[in-house]
Amino acid sequence: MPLQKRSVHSLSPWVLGLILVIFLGHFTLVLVHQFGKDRLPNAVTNLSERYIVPWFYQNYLMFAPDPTDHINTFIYRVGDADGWSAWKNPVFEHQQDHWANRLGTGSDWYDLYNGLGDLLFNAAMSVEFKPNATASDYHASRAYTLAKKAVLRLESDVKRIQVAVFTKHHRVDANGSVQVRHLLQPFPPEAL
Amino acid sequence: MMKQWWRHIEQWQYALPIQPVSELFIRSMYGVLLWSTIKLSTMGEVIWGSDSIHQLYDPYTNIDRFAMLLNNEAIRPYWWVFVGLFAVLLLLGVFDKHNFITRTLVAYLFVVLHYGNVEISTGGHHLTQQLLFFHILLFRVDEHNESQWAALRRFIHHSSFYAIWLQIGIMYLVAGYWKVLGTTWPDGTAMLLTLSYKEFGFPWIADSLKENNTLLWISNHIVFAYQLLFIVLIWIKSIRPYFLSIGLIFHLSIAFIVGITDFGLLMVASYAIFVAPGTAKKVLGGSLKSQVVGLNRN
Repeated sequence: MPLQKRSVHSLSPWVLGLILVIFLGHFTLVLVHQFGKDRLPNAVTNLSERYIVPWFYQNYLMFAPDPTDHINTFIYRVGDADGWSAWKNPVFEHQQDHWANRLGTGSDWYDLYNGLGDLLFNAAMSVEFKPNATASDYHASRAYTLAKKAVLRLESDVKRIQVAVFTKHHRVDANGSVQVRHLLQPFPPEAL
Repeated sequence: MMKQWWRHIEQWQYALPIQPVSELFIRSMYGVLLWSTIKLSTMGEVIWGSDSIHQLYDPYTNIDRFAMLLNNEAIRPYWWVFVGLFAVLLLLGVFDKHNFITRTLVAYLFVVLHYGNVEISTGGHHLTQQLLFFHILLFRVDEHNESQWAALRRFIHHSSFYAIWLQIGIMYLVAGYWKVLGTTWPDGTAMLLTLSYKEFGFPWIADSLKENNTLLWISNHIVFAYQLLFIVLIWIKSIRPYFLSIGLIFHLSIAFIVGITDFGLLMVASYAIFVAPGTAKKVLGGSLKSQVVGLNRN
């Protein structure tokens, strides 16, 4: 469609320029926030941080710089007078749902439990490095509190619980083959 | 060159041939967001409510706190108010009923719901947050209105429209640039590493992929190049449809093979902004009539 100028109602070039400058200013701060850290003066990066977070915050690093090389899975077991149950993986049924139906909530449940797995992994690491760590150090972590909440949502009449994080680590070796390793980090059990 | 460019920009105030594209974009985004919101509301008590099993994050005391409302334990029991209003506004928008105020509310509610559960957030959600901000300014303007006010709104509409293009380009540039600094994307093994997890894909894919192969290597580099070049190539009209078809295949694969469905579908919906005006008009058909006669002026 040809655009025709109707000059009587034209906007001043200054107004047009000002609007463009506002947009350009926005994107300049976005780019500074994405690429400027450790490259630009602190005053500039702090300004961009203040402008961007939280309203314009954006994180596109899900598979960058590399895809994840490990996945943490939250697992747990519960105990009664007769002993412990087998380890349970609450996400597995949701994974099966997700494999069967990409449009359902399977992946969202997976993300929630996976996030819990990541929190437990970080908590385990942080307590491991504490000198003379005790069971209460593990149980005091926010990750453990959330994991316990998750278990109590799923189980009733529980006398004891134990949560753990099961880590699968994948690596592509020099021959282009996938190498897999596993790590189980159980938290100390707790009587309820 | 600069003069020519400025003359082109100046024309933005006189007509709005891209309005059908903006409309298609809004409805596509709203459609995917509506599906996602309805889906998530079936587990809303865990996602946004009191049964949450993720860490809440509310470090602000100033106006920024309004972005984090659902990180406040006292507000979380009322998650359904936010979700309900959001869903209603999206539904109205899908059926052509939206204006500056509803678009502002949609953008704001998305921020609150997004930050209300970052565990389910993806790059697609971060991008959507930006695109919904710009969509506030996609004013509808009656084509016969020759006032200065209408000219201003047309100009802002155009600026926001291309800001959406630029924002999508920046997303790819950031994702591509940081991949350059890794090892698996440049050496062509990233695709294998991703699909080796049953969590990203299907068990039969993970079980059958023990080594890298030519198809994976080529796909790896196509994705890598697509992300790095998008911000430049998207402006070249003659190659745009072919170029974008690579992105569509990529994002549909992410949705239905890798299994990050929300991300894949949000990206596909956002591509509506690149549709040619004539095509958008055809897709929208009769529903565009109300705008042409000036019933929706916001």
